[in-house]
Amino acid sequence: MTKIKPCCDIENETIGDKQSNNRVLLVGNPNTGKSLIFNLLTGYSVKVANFSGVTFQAKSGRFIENGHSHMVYDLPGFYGFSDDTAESASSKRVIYESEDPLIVNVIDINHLDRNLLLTKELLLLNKRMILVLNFVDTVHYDVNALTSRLRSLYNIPVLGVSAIKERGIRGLKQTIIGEFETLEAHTKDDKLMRPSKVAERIEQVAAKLNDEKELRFSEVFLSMLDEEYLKDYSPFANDKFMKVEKEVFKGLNIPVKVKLIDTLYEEIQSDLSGLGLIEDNESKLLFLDRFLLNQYVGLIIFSVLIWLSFKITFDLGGIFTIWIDAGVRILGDVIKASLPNALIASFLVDGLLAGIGFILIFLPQVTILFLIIGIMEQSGYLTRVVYITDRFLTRAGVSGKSIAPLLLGFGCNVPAILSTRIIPDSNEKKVTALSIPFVSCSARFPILVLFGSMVSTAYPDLIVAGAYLLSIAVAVTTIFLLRKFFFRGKQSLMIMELPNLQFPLNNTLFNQVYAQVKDFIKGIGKGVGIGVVILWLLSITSFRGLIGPAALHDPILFKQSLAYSLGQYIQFVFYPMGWDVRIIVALLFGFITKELFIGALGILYGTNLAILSQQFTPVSALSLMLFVLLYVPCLGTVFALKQEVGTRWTLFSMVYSLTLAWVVAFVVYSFGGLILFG
Amino acid sequence: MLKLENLRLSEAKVGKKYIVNQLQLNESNLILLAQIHITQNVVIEVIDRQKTGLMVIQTGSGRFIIDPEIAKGIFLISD
Repeated sequence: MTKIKPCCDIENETIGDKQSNNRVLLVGNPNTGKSLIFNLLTGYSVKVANFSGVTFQAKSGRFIENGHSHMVYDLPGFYGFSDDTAESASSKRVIYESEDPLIVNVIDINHLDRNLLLTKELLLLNKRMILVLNFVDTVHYDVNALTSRLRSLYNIPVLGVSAIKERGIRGLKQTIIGEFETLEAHTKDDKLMRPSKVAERIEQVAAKLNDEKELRFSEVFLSMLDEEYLKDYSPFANDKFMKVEKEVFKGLNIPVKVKLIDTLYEEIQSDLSGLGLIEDNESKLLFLDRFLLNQYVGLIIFSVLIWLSFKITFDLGGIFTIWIDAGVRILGDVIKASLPNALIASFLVDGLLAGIGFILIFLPQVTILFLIIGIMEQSGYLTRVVYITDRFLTRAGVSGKSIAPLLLGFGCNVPAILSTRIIPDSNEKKVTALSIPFVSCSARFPILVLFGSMVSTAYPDLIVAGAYLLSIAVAVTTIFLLRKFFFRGKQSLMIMELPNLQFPLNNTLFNQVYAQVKDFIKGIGKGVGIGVVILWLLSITSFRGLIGPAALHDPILFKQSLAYSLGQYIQFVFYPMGWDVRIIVALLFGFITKELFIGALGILYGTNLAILSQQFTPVSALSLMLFVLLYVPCLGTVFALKQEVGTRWTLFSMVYSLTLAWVVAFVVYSFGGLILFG
Repeated sequence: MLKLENLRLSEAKVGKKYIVNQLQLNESNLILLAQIHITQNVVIEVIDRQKTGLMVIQTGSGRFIIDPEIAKGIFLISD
């Protein structure tokens, strides 16, 4: 199994600050497997999914081979240098600003011509380059003939790999090392790569501008393709360049950029001619699209899959939960019996074990959820869901560009909010970011599992599935209301690639689930660990001093504790719902992270699920579950929102979500009995 | 034999193949389509269409979800 390491964003770093001078840039169209290759090269674990927009900012990682260190950058996918999306802007910036990098251009062999457009443009940059043809296992023709042709035409190393089957990665590493070991100058004669049909006109532009210094063909070409390059990186005065370009391309009935792209496509077709590439390389599973994309059948399949997911999560996860629950209690009893010091024993058992152990009880369900989400992402099914549910988002007022961030929200809201940067329209970006806190993240899942079982012992899976659908409905309604009253404007238009359907059970999926579970446990160890210690201390001390561990088991003694006082200050807010002060304390801690809410319950009520369940009626459990589902997810989300939408809208989001959560909880508590029991 | 219908992509029949005849779009959408190789003479198969007009099309470059507003500006002839 690949060694998993945490990863880092490079957004605020300057490329070149890293220790290694060997910089490898992974560049390519969206959804070509760059992140997977990045993980295989570096041993990191950046998110991989079978839909575009997953990598919204560059990631960096290192691999060391034969004593040489190489810094690898996984850049967001883009189609070409005239692409003006936010993802392309960040990738292009890294390419332009990197000093002497090695570009590893990853392309999907199933869509050669589209992917080779970027390859042709990259070749004109005159940088060291390797071409990697990914998914070679999915085609039925002679890949060697293709690689030899491209190698001889483009004069660069060309390799076939299957990242998903981890084939060809060793060869890629060796080729990367070989490229850096080559002492000779990497600059090739760009004349070979000049698109013949427009080369003359581009040279004319260069000649007309060539009054100050010698100009490179690539500088002129890039200035014509990319406005950002012309503005920030080219040596030309913008006005003069535009004037000359207009003059040279006079009479053209299409935009110059389109002419350049068309010419490159013509050359690509000529590059590939005679190779006998058979066009049967689409996934054999694509016939399923007839059902998955149907607006009626597709929705039924989606609903059944959602229900089935939660059913499996409960039925299978529940078995392990009972074992872990029993194990935590036995361990607690053993520790208490073997430690003579009551305070130390209480710290370990009533504090750390109760707080952290109570979250770990739900680890099986969380693991199964990660696995199911991973299967949906990597099979390409989630993009089908985007299509069949688009009508709801369109009516709410945003385009498909908002989908990727919303989907990422089911994992964690923080990166999801940051990923709204890929949305070009500022109003759409803001409404999407403000709606993401309502998307139920994985940290809220154990809470839904716990309280779902209390609401209905017979159908907890349906309760949790309902809670998820409610979270989506609230997010979409929030988008609608914000668009209607605060962020009016035209919807942006969408074209999104529908990826091939593929069988998702592979090492990549298991590595990713392993990394997510590891992160989940790490998160508990870090933030939650400190939180449970603080809560334990607040529970056994009063304003006058130490009360002792007995306060955790004696409700009258607990009333003297600082934790009780803390909850009592704001108890009036939740008076209509009649929640116990301990619940309110847990909610306060849940504001820091949602895992801490569960940990706090473990400390304040003990880890015995049966005893905890006795504290709630189905209605009170439902009202509390919905409050937790809807109120501010965590401090991290608040900071992410502040960064993306500003202080004013972050405060709005907090007030809005708290008010909404309170109203829903109140209505359910007051009238839920009527609905549930008639 | 070609039947010169010159219909909009947004009106095309699901399950049928067409050839792109002309593109009447603004510059940024033209560039967007050019990049994914949806240009004149490219063959498009209509895979599905929602009531909202959102479509799934298949081209040599892959399968794409395409907005109804963009689909209105793509004119086709039958393959």
